[in-house]
Amino acid sequence: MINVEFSKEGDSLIATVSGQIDTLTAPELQNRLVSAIEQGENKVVMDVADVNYVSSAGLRVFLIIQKKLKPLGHGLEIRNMRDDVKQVFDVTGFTGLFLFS
Amino acid sequence: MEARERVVKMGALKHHSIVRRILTLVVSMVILIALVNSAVINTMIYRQLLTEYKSKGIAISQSIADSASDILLFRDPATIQSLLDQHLTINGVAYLVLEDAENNIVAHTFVPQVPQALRTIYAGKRTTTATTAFHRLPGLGNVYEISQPILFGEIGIIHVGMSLKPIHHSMLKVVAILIPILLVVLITALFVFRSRLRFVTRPLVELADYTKHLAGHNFEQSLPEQGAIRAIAAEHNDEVGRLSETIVSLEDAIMTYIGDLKRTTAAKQKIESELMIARQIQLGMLPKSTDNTAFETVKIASYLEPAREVGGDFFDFINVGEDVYIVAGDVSGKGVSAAIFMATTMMLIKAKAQEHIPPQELMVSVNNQLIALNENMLFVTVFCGKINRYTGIFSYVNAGHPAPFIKRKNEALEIPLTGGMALGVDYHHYYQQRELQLENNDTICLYTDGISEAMDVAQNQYTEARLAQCIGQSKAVSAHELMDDILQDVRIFSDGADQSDDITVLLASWCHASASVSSELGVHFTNDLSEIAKLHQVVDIYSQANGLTKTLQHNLKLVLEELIANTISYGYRDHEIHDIKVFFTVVNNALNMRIEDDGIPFNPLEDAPEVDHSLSLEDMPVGGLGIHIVKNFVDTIHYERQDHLNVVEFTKSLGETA
Amino acid sequence: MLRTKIAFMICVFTLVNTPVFCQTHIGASAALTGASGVLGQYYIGGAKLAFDAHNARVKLPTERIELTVYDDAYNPEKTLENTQKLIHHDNVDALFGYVGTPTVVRMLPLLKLHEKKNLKLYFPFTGANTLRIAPYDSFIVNQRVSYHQEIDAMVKELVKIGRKRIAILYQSDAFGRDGWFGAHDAAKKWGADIVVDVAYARGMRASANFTPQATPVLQAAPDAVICIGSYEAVAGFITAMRTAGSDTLIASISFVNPKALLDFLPQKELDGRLRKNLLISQVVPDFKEKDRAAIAFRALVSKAEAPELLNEVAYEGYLAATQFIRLNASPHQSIKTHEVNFITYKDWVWKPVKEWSKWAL
Repeated sequence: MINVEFSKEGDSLIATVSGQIDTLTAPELQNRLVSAIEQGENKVVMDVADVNYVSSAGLRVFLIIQKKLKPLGHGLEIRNMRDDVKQVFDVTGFTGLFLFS
Repeated sequence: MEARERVVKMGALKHHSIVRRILTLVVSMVILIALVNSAVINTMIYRQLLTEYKSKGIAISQSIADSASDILLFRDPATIQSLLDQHLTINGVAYLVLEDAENNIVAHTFVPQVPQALRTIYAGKRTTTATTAFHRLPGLGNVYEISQPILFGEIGIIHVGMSLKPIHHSMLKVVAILIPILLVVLITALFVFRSRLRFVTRPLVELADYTKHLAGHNFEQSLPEQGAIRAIAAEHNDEVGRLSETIVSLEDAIMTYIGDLKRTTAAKQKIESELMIARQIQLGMLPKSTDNTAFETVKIASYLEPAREVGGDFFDFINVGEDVYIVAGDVSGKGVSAAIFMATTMMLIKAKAQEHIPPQELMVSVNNQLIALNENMLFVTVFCGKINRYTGIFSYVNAGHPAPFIKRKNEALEIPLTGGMALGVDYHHYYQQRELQLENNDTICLYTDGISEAMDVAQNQYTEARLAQCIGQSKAVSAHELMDDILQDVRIFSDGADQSDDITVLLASWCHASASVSSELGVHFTNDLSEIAKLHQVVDIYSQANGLTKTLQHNLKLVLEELIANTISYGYRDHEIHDIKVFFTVVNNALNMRIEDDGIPFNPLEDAPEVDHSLSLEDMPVGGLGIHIVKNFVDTIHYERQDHLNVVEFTKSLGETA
Repeated sequence: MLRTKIAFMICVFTLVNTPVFCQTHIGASAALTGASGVLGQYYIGGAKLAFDAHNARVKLPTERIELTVYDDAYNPEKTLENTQKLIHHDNVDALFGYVGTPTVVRMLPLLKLHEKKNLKLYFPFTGANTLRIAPYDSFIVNQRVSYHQEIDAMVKELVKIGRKRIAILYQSDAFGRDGWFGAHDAAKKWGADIVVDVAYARGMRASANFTPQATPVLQAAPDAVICIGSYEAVAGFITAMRTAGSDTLIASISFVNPKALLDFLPQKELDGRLRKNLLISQVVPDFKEKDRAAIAFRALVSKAEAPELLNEVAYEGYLAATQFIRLNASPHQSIKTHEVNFITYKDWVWKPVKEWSKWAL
């Protein structure tokens, strides 16, 4: 139960994600984003307004994407994260690794 | 060739009796003819010989009478005796007796004496003319005697006895010659007759064999004997020939007929087999019963029996979100066209239901699409309802379908109509929707008129009233049991009468979620990551049922996923299926969770690495996050190895309930 | 036989050399075989003794008498055939010495037929009356008395001793019928009764079954039986009678040869009863007598070394031949006939009956 839609905002790739990012859905999300990056996108923004749940498997996807983007100059920007989801980032200390807006 | 010879022999045995009867008849006829012939011939011979004898005897007696007159006058007995003796040598002369005028026997040829019988006859007998008489004498048998007076009896009488033995002998000789000749004729006749009879019966035997073979024939091609039978038909210009012709043409006719029959049968079989496939496809479209789904508040039982291979009835139930759509329909007409229309309708409804729209919208949309596709002017009555699994709110539209019932305890409540028209009739028809609140353990009973109009042998209908009575009185506690009761009652009613229409029953029972999911719950999962979806659902249901806050629901979901995904991913070294049990309990306003697995000994609290927050991104490990999350989202957590089980228990304060 | 052949050769020789003059050729048909075969052999045998002696004595071939004999086996038809052969083929001058009545009676018409040849039958061995009455009496020369005379004498003697109930056994043919007729005549004449007559078929042998003949005779219980038949038949009849227990007197006419009869009546059977109470009439003198003819006969038999010919029949043949020789020399001489005598079997031999009283009733 995850949906990813891509759009462009200037030279940034906007990935609008909805649903929950858990053990089952994380691999699909990872594939979609990694393949986008490998096709040359180096500025990625993830809009997670409609993501109501992220488990550790989801955290790993964010981490992997960040690791791929950081050497390209621009880190991953995360937009509109819900509080209860943000709490997972906070608890794990992931909050400092990403740019939240 | 051997088999064939044997068959002919068997045939020969069979026709032997008729040949024997005819032969017996012929033999008897020939023997009869021979006997009659012999009798006639013998009688003729006898008469002829007797006549000859008579004339011979008369000639002899006259000859003796003439010469004896002189001699007698001379009284020379020696010469007389010599005369008599000479005549005795003539064939057929048995004796001669000469009497003088005084009736004294003066000479005779008897040895030793003249039989007393003759003496008595001669005594005192005088005659002046020749007389004849038959005598039976000892040693001589039957004798024909001619008595000739000499000189009118004045000198005496000469008696000449002619033995009939030579006549009998001649007759016997005739018979002795006749019988061998007749035998030869008979035997020859029999041989000739037999061969002729074979000529006649051989075709009959062949015909009989041919006919016998016909009986066991598959008529795919002509029997090999047919050529021989045709030859007989050509050869015999008689009844046998005509019979042969008839039988051969019979075989041809049967072959033609069987050929036609096979072609039509094959065509029919093809249609039937295709219909069977269609039936399987149609039945395959129907969803399976979901009665055993543990977490469902809605339980479904369904039954559909087409009257023909394919039918126009259908039902469906579709899970979308928190709703379950239940649908039953009946296409006007039957057979293939109805089936196709039914399939179309069902597919449209199924597709529309996925949009999770109210039944009213669904029906309007489907109606419009059906009218666009409906060139055969078919229509379909449909009942479509939507049950909210959690609230028990039932919203529905009835498009010309028989009003369903709700079994509520011992009552059968009719679900009020919505005034809708059957689908496929009126474009832009507005379908009104109604709603009602289900009570706990209500069962909605959808059916088609195959139930209410089921006939018994006397053409009486089952009726909705009886169905309502059956539903009300049923002691069933589940949808399945109620379905069984209904079908049983219908079967008892129809009592073997043919099913005239498709029969469809769809039962949906609803139970209140809080009633079905208590605060104490034990759920089993298997060691497959896809079970995570189920885990989320279970947590959702449990949370709703027990009024947990959304945050608590989210956190519980997160903790359980981390722990169980960890176990599934790392807890097993084999590839077998294993159970993971999760128990929910609420104690002292706190949720107590217990997770059991039979995987390898693994303490997630100690064996998983801690997350070092001081590490830079590049050094941050991907694993270990899950346990870190768990520790941060629970109040207490504890691991224990009990026997072969890993047991993890954690608690979480409920706080304020929702 | 040898002599006959020589005589025949002489005859042929004579025929060839003296065609004008020929010896006297006579022919005979006689039974040399069969039931009466012995009779013919004896009769012709006896005659030949005389002819051979004559032919041996005479000097001129014309005086010779040649005898040709054919066997007829006592069959009249054969006799007829033989006689025709003798007349046409052998051209005989006379017929001599036939044996039996039916045989002679059968051929008598031939004598009438060939009347122009003046063919006569000399001295047939039969006493048949037919030969002594019209129309054939002129063709036949007899030396024997007739059977009628024989039977007449027999009945006369039987009536004299009180045996009046008489039975007759006769041969079923002309001979038997002639005797039968004579017996009836004699019975009327002397006041006897013929109580029964039985016939037998000619040619029956002694071994044949005579019960059918004996039975009616036994039933009639006659005082005496007169037999007119051949020796074998008479022997058979006697045996049947004696076997049945009857010892009645049985008299036979001279056609029966006494010696031949005894051959079929064995002394040792039935305690000698077969040969008891037998009478045979004799029309020929006894060859054992001491007259000139008997002595000459015995001498010739002895000379010919043929002792079997020493019997009545051969003696009769001899006497017949002697008379023929005499008549042939001088045709107008008178013919001697013989008286009737009776013999009976007594003390193992046939003896002339001197005393009839022993059979008197």
